[in-house]
Amino acid sequence: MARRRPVAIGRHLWGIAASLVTGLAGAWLMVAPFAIGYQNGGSWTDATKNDFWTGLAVVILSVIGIVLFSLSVVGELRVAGVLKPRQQPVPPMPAWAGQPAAAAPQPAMPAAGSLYHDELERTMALLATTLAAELAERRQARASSNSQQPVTTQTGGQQA
Amino acid sequence: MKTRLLSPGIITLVLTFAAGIWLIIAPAALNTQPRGAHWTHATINVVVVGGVLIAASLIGIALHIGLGLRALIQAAELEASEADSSAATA
Repeated sequence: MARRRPVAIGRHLWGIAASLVTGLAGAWLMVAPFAIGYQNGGSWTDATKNDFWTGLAVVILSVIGIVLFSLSVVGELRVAGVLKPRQQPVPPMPAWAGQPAAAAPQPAMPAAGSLYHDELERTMALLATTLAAELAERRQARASSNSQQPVTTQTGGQQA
Repeated sequence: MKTRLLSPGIITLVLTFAAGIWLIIAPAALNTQPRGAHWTHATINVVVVGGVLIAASLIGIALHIGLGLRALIQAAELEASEADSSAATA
């Protein structure tokens, strides 16, 4: 029986948690000049302007982050089969269908950002595969050395 | 169907990290903190909040990448064991 693929949403939840913390910090930064009292009416000082606008930017970033990490959680659950995959609308038959191949439009080149992202993904996947192979080798070596040890060392000595 | 190692949301954490660094250097850069004087309430607040932003974003980035790598390793191990078992049955 095939083992079920583990659902790895923990990393996205940590991202949501970090975004929540930074969002709260940003909100505090926006109200701090008035709450602490270093903005005493009148026109805003440089410190107040800096705190308010930086706080607003951090709040916006954290909201965007929460949305993006939540979408990643949903995508991960879809991949794992917990949620139903999104229904893709069937595209209408293009006008060039049935014409010779030369008349059909060529597919557009992928964006440079997506190429870079795919390259990074491939590198990380290669790294993970190498690490997994090394771990498996180590476990095998440890298991074989354990099985070769005499009984006296296994019972009296420390375990490797 | 494979999943992505990095969520696009990690970009927001990187930008938040940059905002934290800016908050820490802002009192000196904007001359809102007099040189040689005790730190004002505004400076203390900004530096503490900047530190919180840096710490939270760094922890989020590290955990996201670390747990993502762990998931990739587990998936690779799973594939390897499934390949071994299918080769043994063949």
